[in-house]
Amino acid sequence: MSSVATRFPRPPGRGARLGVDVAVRRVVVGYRLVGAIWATLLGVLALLGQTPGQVDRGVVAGTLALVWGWTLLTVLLAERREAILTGWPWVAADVAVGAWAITASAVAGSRGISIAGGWPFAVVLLAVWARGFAGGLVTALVLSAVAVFRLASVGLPPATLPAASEAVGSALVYLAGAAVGSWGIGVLRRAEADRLAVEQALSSERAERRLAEERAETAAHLHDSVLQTLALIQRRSDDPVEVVGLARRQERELRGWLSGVSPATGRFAAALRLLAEEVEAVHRVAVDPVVVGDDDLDEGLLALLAASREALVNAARHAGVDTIDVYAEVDSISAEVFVRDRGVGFEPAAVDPDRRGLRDSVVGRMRRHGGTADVRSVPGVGTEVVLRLERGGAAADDPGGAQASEGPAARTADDLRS
Amino acid sequence: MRTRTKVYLVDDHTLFRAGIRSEIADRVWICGEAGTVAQAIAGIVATEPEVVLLDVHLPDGGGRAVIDGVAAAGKATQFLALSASDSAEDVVDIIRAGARGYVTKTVSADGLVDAIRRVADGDAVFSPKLAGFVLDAFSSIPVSEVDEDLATLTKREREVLQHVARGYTYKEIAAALFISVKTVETHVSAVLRKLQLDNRHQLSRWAADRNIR
Repeated sequence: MSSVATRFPRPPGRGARLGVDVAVRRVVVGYRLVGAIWATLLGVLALLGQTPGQVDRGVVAGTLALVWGWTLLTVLLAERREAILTGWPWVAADVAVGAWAITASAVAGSRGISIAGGWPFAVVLLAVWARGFAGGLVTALVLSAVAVFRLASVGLPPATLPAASEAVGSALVYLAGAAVGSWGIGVLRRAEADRLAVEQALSSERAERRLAEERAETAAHLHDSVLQTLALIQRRSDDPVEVVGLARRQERELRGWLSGVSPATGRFAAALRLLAEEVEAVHRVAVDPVVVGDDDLDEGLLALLAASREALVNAARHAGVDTIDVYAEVDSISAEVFVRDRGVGFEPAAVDPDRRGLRDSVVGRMRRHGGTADVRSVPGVGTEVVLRLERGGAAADDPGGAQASEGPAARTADDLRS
Repeated sequence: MRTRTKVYLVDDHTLFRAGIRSEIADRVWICGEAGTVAQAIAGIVATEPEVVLLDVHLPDGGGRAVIDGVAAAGKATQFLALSASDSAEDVVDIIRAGARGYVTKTVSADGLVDAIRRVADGDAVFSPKLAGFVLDAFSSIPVSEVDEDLATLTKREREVLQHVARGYTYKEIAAALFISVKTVETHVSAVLRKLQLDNRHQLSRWAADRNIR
């Protein structure tokens, strides 16, 4: 309904945009065809009813040809170039053709009635439609004058009587046509404009209601999220680490909400981000994963996530840093996750056997899923865990292979959460 | 000791400008600041800073309008994009408009000063996030063996970007790949140039896809 505003009432007769105008245009053009047929019948009668030599047949035939040509041109323009029809040059030309149709039979030497028939009335209708009441009135007056003037050529009474009554009748019909036509079109236009105004009022009311609903929803969301977090921040203002963590979590939540994209469940990137958030919340470190590519989670990717989580938790617990870099790249052939900290580091060979997190959860898990885990650590410099998983064809085509021994995907997902 | 870098600050949040100023004003020379595109262009043209710290999101046309306006005035200055936005399209767009780097608003004061100095020296500053975005943008395009091909990243450029995304400094990347820091910078600058020069349909399509989603 956005185009409604441009469809509002404008001076009648200036180009048709309302539905009414299209209907009126059809009537104008349709009546013109009727008028042309009418004129043809009268013309044929005029030719048949006169003895040869009395009437210039050429003039009558030429006039009929002109009427038909002009009518067909109008039909064509009405479909293709309506603006030409509604311009005053066309209306003026139309009047001229109408005037000629009225006088043609007299010019041809006929003393009977005009062969124009209903065709000039079609000219009046077009003028009313195209130029409003004023245009219709001027046209009706001009054509009436022509009809009356034609009497002069007919001769003296009593022969003039039928012609005179025809002329007066025609003039009355033209003037009535202009008046009633413009009044009728005006009524129809107003009715349609009113209807559109009501429709627009309704749709703007609907839009307002929708806006109000959205505002209420936004307020509710901000209340549940941002205001709660701000309250928490005020209460924990003595703990800067906690405050930063709260702010980061809120920022991420708000950003996700603003972007309008709900995290795709079952996708790797969203799952990794969620995992990072959890580790952030629990261990008070900043983790902002950079993820390139994405894919639906499968058993291999779930194992990769679980291993990533273990690597992250390890870094958060032992590295003594407040930020951890996570970079992941996933495509259909392979998946890689890099978890890196600039913490205390360790000597991989000298890890206490009790602390088996890295070995079992990371290295072992990756190996069981046909992947690799590479732990590089330098004391005092930091640690990087590189997890690699081959994916694609083989794993997807062979679900009952080596991976089946790991149990159903659901259990792996539980591992992830534990 | 090096002279202080001349910096101009463009951000529509007055509070944020004040915050940045108090954090870095003792290490760089902040020669002016603006909150709108028109003010920013006039101010940058008048003060001729070395580096413009530019917010990606500005009310009347965004950071891109500032870069275009200053370029139209014929002034050569470096732009470092600074944004709270995480949207890949916005960030890649400002880089393609001509910014030499991108850091998020959560960057530390030290990190920001370092980035400003590097941009002033003509280097490109890729944060891990930006490296990720760029890799993502090029990910649908096969790696090229030919250095001159503007349509693709070379294998080396990809490696360098991956290390940036992993959180490596240029120095660490140089050590890991057995190349000089200068070479790392060359690779990053080459990636930047490819982003800015090219109008390849793949990258445009990537941007379009992201916008639709």
